[in-house]
Amino acid sequence: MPDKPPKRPEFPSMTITVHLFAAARDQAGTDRADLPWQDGLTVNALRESLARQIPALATLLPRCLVAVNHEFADDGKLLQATDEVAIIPPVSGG
Amino acid sequence: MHALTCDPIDHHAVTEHVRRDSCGAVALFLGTVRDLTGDERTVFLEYEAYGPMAEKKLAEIEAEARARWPIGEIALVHRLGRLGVGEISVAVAVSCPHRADAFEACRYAIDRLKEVVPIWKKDIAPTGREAWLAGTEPRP
Repeated sequence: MPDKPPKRPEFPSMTITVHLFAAARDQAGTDRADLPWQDGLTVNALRESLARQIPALATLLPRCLVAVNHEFADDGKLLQATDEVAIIPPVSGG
Repeated sequence: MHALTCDPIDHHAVTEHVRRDSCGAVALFLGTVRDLTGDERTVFLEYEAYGPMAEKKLAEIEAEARARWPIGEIALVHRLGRLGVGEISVAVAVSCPHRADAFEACRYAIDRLKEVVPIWKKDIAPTGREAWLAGTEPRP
């Protein structure tokens, strides 16, 4: 059986990893989700994509902020595939 | 200084860390685990953090406080992991020349910590039931 040809580097399927914490992790049953990424992906579109991929998060997500590279991000922010993204549920430190 | 730790918080050391000859006032706040969460008995609280971002936010709070008040030194320490009733979850200590500023800066730091630092606590009841506390939607 011949080997599979290598993936053409100019057409990779890109994903972005979203880290889930606390109640988001428990409801999702995982501490991370890989979502499709394409040029022009916004935080808002990522929220929608996450809710589709993990419907269990749909109720909590509107109450969460999204952090990109350790900063809270507006919904309109554009995402790079290499950004570190995290779902921040309502905080309860202290 | 600011720190996340899994070790018990030595509040005496935190207080001593901020003392300065130039400061006549030292304000210390301790958050401790209460035996009730809502109507239910608490056996443990379990704290977790998004570490790198929590450290970043603690540093920002320190900088904000230093910009607003004449602070000699400030320390913010939050403990993570499983804590029993009465244990110290957070310590904020501030020294200033005079007490009005020390009280205000300390109050600001803990209030801001509770609204913006990505730390979460989960209540563990005697039955073993676990529930994330409702929390505050972060106000960046």
